Formats: sequence, C-alpha cells, structure tokens
Amino acid sequence: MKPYSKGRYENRIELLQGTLDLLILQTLQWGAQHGYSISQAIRVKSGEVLQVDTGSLYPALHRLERKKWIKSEWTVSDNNQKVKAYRLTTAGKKHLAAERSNWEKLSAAMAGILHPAEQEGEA
Amino acid sequence: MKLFRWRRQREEELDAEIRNHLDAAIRDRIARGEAPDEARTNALREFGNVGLVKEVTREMWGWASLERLLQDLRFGLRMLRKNPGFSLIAVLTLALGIGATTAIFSVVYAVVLRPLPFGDSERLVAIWTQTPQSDRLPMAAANHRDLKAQNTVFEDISILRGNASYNLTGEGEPELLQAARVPANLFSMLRVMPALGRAFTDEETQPGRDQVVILSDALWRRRYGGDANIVGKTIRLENVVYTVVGVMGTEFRYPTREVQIWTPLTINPADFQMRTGFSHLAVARLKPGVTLEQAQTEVNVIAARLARQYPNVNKDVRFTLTPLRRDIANVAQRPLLVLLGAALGLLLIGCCNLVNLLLARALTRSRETAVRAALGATPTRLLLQSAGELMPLLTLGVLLGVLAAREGIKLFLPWLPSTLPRVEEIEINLPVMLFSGGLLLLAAALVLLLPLLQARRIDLVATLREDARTSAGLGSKTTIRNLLVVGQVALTVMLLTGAGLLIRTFAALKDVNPGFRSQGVVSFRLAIPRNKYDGDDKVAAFCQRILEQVRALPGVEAAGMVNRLPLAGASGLSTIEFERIGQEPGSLDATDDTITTSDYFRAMNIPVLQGRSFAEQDNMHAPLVVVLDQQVARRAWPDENPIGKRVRSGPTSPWAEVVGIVGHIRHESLESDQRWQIYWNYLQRARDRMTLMVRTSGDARSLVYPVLGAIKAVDQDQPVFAVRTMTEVLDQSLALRWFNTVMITLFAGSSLLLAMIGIYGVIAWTVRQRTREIGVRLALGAQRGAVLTLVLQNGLKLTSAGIVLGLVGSLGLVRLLRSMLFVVGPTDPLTFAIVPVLIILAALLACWIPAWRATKVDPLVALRQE
Repeated sequence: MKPYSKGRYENRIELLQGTLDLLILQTLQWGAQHGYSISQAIRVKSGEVLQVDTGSLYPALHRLERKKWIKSEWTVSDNNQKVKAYRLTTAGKKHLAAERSNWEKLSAAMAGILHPAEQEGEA
Repeated sequence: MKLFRWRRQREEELDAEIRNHLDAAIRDRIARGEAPDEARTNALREFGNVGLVKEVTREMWGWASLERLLQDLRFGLRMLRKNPGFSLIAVLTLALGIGATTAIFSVVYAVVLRPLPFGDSERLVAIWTQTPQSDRLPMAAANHRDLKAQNTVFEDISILRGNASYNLTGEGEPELLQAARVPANLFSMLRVMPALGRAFTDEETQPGRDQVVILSDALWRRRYGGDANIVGKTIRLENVVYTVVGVMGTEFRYPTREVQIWTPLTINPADFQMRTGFSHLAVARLKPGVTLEQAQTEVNVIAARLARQYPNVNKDVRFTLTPLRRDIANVAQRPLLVLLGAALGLLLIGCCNLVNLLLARALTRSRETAVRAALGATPTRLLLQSAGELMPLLTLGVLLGVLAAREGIKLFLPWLPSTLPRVEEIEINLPVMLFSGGLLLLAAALVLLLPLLQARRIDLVATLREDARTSAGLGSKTTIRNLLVVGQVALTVMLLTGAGLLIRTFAALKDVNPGFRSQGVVSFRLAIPRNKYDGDDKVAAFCQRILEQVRALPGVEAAGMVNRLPLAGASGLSTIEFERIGQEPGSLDATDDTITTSDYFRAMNIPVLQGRSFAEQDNMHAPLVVVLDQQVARRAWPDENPIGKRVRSGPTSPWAEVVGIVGHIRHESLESDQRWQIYWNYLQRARDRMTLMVRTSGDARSLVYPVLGAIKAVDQDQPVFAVRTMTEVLDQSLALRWFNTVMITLFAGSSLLLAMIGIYGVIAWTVRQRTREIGVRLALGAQRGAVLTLVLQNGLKLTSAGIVLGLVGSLGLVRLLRSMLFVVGPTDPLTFAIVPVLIILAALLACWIPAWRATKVDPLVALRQE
C-alpha cells in the first residue's frame, strides 16, 4: 500500500485503501486481539491469500485508535507476557456495519463490471 | 516537556508492541517445528524493516508534521548556506523593507499613537483660539475665565505659559532654564503627581507667594545628582530664592520636552480683563460621557455669547477643541503617516522581489517538486516544506531588519527635528515588535502562497520530461512574474512621484525670500536679570552698552537686538487697532508683536521702505512710536501715507505714532505668514529676554568669541545662551521637512533599485528561456542589433505598463500629500515628466546586461542544446 513496501511480496494481492481497516475491524468483532494475532487471523481466514504487511498493519491500528474505532489496553497474555490488545469500540461497531454494506455494494458493482457479457445480454 | 514525556512513553509502548509481535511469531514457528535460530531469522524477515514500520506507525500519532518541519528548517538552513547569492539578496531585501517600516513605525507609534503618559489621557483636550487670521492662537486669560465659569462639559480647565525661562545661579555654572508656568490644578487635571514632593497649592499661585518650583527628572539628576532630599531645599532663580516642592517623574514632559522647571502661574487681576493677550496654552478634561462634539457645540455657544457681549474684541473669536494626543502630534502626524506608507511600499516591492526570486528558484527545482508530487507528497506537505525552507530566510531577514531599525533609530535620534514631539519615547517596544511580527507573517504568506499556487498548476508529466521549457506551467509562471514586475514598477512610480513632489517643495522653500538676509548673521540669547537691572531704563541701558561694545569690534557691520528671533518658533501674539479718520475704531486684529532696537533692521537687512527706524530720542519720556511692516500698512491705509498715523494695542492702551514702514519678513514659518508684524521700540517697552543679532561681512561664526568677550566686558556675570547663526535657525525651521524629504527620497531610491533587480531578473530569465529562439533568429540572419532591440522592447513593455499604472495611482495618492506641498501643485508637471523618464532609464540599464548577453548567443550552441 505504501510505495516502499512494493516488491516485497510480488504475488501478494494489494489491498485497497480502507479494505485493511475493514478486515481489522471485522477480525476484532470476536474479541480483543494483539497485532500479531490479527495478522495471523486475516492470513488464515483468507486461505493464505491475504498477507498483511506489518508496515501497513501497525499504522492502521494506530490510525483506527486515533479515530476511536478501536481501543488498546495492556493485558497479560496466556504465557504471562504483557501484551497490547485492541478492542472494538461502540463507534467502531457502527463503522464496521456501515463499511460492510459499502463493501457489499462495491463487490456487487465490481462483479457487474468484471462480467460484462451478462450485462450486455440484458441490455 | 509533558509532550516529550508522553511521546517517550508511546515510543516505549511501540517497542514493546513490536517485540511482542516478534515473540509471538517466533513461538508460532517453533511450535510448527522450526529450529529457534531459524524461527527468529524467518520471523524477522517476515516482519520486514523494523525501523520503517516504527516510522510509518509514528506518523499516525500526529506529531510527524512537527518533526518534519524541523527537518525542513534544517534543510532550509542548508539551502541558505549553499546559495549565498540568492540568500543574501533575499535577506537584504527583506531586511531593508522590514527595517525601514519598523523604524518609521516606532516613530509613528511614539509620536502619534502611544497614549499620553497621563491618567485617563483620552479625555484631555487642547483648546485653541480661532480668529480670521489664525486658527491656532493661545488663550486670553479673560476668555479662559469665562469658559471655565460658563461650561458644563469640562471637569476642569487649565491655562499655562510654556515658554518662560529663568537664570539659575548659585552653585555651579549659571544656566538658563526653560520653564512652564502652570496653575495649581494642572497636575491633578492631568492625573499626574510629582515623583517626589507635591504639586503646587492654590495659595502658591497668588502673586508674592509663588517662590516655589518643581524640577524635571532630567534637571534633578543632572544638576542635583538625584538628591533624594531635594524637597524643601532652595535654589536661586533670577537671584530670587525658590523652594523646591517637588520633582516630576521621567515621563512627564508637558507642555514640551524642553521644560526643565515648573513654577506657579500667577495671573494679575488686571490680566483677567485682557481679552486680547493670546498668551496661554489651554488644556481641559472632558467630563465622563461627554463627547468631543458635545463639548465643541457648547463651547461654540459660549463663544457666540462672548462675541455679543464684547463685540470690539471677541467679534470673530471662536474656540476649537482637539484631543490632546492629536494636538501634540499636530504637524508631525501627516508627514509621519506618509513616511510609513512609503516604507510599506518599499516592503511590498521587496516582497515582490522575493516572490520573483523564489519563482525563479522554484522553476529550476520544478522537477524536484514534480518528483515529490508524483511520489505522493500532498499540496499541504509541499507547502509545509517550502515554509520550512523559507522560515530561516524570512526570520533572518526580519531579525536583521529589526536590528537595523533599532540601531538606525539610535543613529537617527540626534537628526530627528527638535520640533518632533515625544521623540524620547521612540523605541523598539512590544507594540512595535508586534507590528513587525505581523509584517513577517504577511510577507511570509505573500511570498509562500504565490509560488505555491503556481506549483499546484505544474503539469507533472510535462515537467518530468526533459523538455521542461515547453510545458504549459511555465507560461503562466512567466505571466505572474511579469505582473509582479509591473506592480513593482507601479509602486516605484508612486514613491518616486511622492519624493519628487517633496523635493520640489523643499527646493521651493529654500528659494523663498524670508525678507531678511541670513548670511553673515549670528544670534546670541541674553537673559537679563531683573533684580540686578531693576527697571526698564536700566535694562535698556545695559542693552545699549552691550551694543556699543559689539559695534566697536572689527568686522561687525551692524548689531541690534530683538526679543523674538524670526523662524525660531516663538511668536508674541497681540492685537492692534488702527486709527482711521472718519471711521469708527476698527476691530482688533491678531499681530506679531516684536520689540527691537533701532539697528535690528540693518543687522537683518530688512529694508526701511518709508520713514525711519527707531532713534535715540524715542525714549521713555518721548511719545510712543511704532514701525509697521509693509503688509499691515497697505491693509490699514491702502490709499494714504501711513507715516504719522496712529495705532494702539487695545481700547485701553495708549496710541502710538507710525514712524516707519519696513519690508515684510517670514516670521512664523517660510511657508505661510498671515500675521501682521508690529515693531515696538525697546527703549519704550524694555524686555529682559533679548537676542543679540550681529552682522558681519565675513564668516558669521568667526564673530562668536569676540562678541562673547564684548558682552563679558560689560558684565562679567551675564550668561549667554543659544548661540546660532541665522542660517542655522533657517535650516532648523525646515528640519522636519528636510528629514521627511530625505527619508522618502531614500525609500524611493531603494525601491527603484529593487525594481531594477526585479526587471533584471525577469528579463534575464526570459532571455535564458528564449536562447533557442534567439539562436534560430540569428541562424536565419537576424542582426544582433535586432536581437538587442527585441529584448529591450520586452523589458520596456513591462516597464511602460507599470508606469501607466503607477501614474494613475499617483494621481490618486498625491491628494494625501497636498497639505505637505508648497508652491508645487500635487500634479506638478515637472515631477510627472521626470519620474517616467527616470524609470525608463533605470529599466534600460537593468535590461542591458541580459540583452547584451542575448546578442552573444552562439546559434550553433543554442540549437544543439535541445
């Protein structure tokens, strides 16, 4: 997403601006998580297609926190380490809902464009 | 500090967060069966550049812009060092503009804007008497008493005399102290109390009880070493013992800064009958809630009532109220504001140059800007960057300017005309600094925004291509630079026109014939102690002895005395009534009363046109005689011989016979002189403050020591003050004008120089841009002369546009100058003809180097460049 991260994962799918935000918010829906586990969750849930670059992940987390959609707190992890976990706020939940419907509209539109034959047939 | 702590904490948290991330990744890999070392390496590789991740994350905190600004500032400082030529011109241009504006503003602030150092000073007003001949006459005691009794708008009114003087004797050198004689209520009305001791009491303003004195801070420190126990001690004034009752604070300099002591003003009951002795300054405090207009209305009513009551003397008398602060600034206000305007014009021209320089630089760096924009730098980021780069330049320029202003003022202070009030309050203080700070912001905004507007329009693709000079962005850029040059020329035209008009006015004033010849005359002020020479006859005899001694000196052509030097700012206002046969006594007119010895006219080269000057036999026991100036005589008796006619000062004064008519002289100022001049004989009206005038055929200065010796020979103890040649007196009367003319001319000259730099910059740039075209023309056989003309024409086109614009602007602006002009009209054809010629010559000079360079273009090289 940033010019300088280009080329590091050449066959990785580029995430659209805002898409990562949506993925993070979605991931946090099931409870507070720290940075590494968020990236792992996105990787696993996308069937290893989406690799979140740390150079995008952490700026995104800090940006979302500034927008008050998520909140961070220091907690003690399972193996007794102090870790910083992010949690969805009420505002974040609202934003997530709005963004999800936007995304659905966008993917429907994309699908329409990417399958022009059907469209032409109808016209 | 709190900010830094907060930031450090966040920094530590981010470190911990990233450490956690790596730990978790390593644990995962080990759990999947990787060896610990391998797991660590892979996790680090997967994570990527830790430093970079931290940096981009930190950017989200909102502090990045600050840090970047610091970076840009550092970058700016580097640029400053790398382009010393560019930096020097930019900084000096700015320093010149800011310095000039700051210096002039500090004067304007002190003289015009700063509140007077009195309590609630905005309610203080000056009251002047207005007659058909003059609108700024002092107040007669009787009019003051009536105003005080009949008004309902003033809390209090004071009258005072500002031009008294006393011989201070006793310990140390004798000296003449400038004094103001003030009433007991003055200090309470101004809401100012002495720093030491007390003000005068009402009892002390009774004749005979008035031997008390208040010292100025300066005199107290200089002469009495700041003695804290001075109150109650005595000093000798005019050989009379006075008790010091107080010392004023440093800031108190009312009514003028020359005042060194204040003594009580005693008014004889007889003076209260005098409606014609216009001799007192009047100042009043408005009641709370009363406006100036309301007060003026009521004062007009009182004046009309007095006119009905005393038709002989008060028929045409009005009173005008002016806020005291404006009244004190008076004549200086308009010239200073004009000067400030000129300085601002200079600053604006300087800013135009700066913008031009920056545009030129931006152009050479347009590829860099385009690359930055292509890499995703937002316009805000670009703005911040150029702001950061510029700040060192601007700050340096402003600092240098303010510093120059501060030092400049110190240098200028002794040159500032003594007629400028409140000069000692001039300093670079907080309001002045705020003003300069505001100018900095304004200059920065102007200088930053213009190139940026341009930068936004740069066609990225075209600029990135090698062939930058054909891109569309450059066209509009050149237009802006051209417009800037046109604006500069227009402003310069206006400044030069203003300067031209003032120079022409000054020259006209220098040409004015004052009615006397100043060359070869030197003046000595004498204060004759009354208790040593008690009685008018003894004073007159003493003057006579001095004159005899002086006349006997070799080289002396004539010697006379006068009580008031012409053009020295002093005037003695009185009234006169003419005896006309077959007519009712005419109304009284304000006149300049002067008391002279018989040889005064010869010493000053004032021609005696009819009759004679005063003579020995016109003494105390002989009938009163008077000499009139030509103008009075013509007005009073247009068709008759004035010799033998009679005049008097007022209905109760004795008649005096006119024995001679002399030429009119400029007594008040070189510019205007409405007042009538009446000369009385010192033998019949002796004065103890006289000025000795000595004329020589040689250098006036060479007479100073012989004359001082002659005076000492008559009386060893007689002090002499204010030795000045008449030429110096004349020059001093023009000092404010001189200062103003010099300053405006300096500003106009500087702006011409800046405009030339501007024209040169643009033309040189155009030539560089058109090198190829010029090469083609030359290759096709164009004459070098034609190329020269082409470039010069280009420059002249811009200049002419500026001149036309500037002339139109000047026609509007010169109206503001009208009151400062003399003889010369605001649309003086000579000035309006010379200024464009001067500018065209300057423009040709500025274009010459680039034009000459254009003719040296080698067609082969020029064509190969592409």
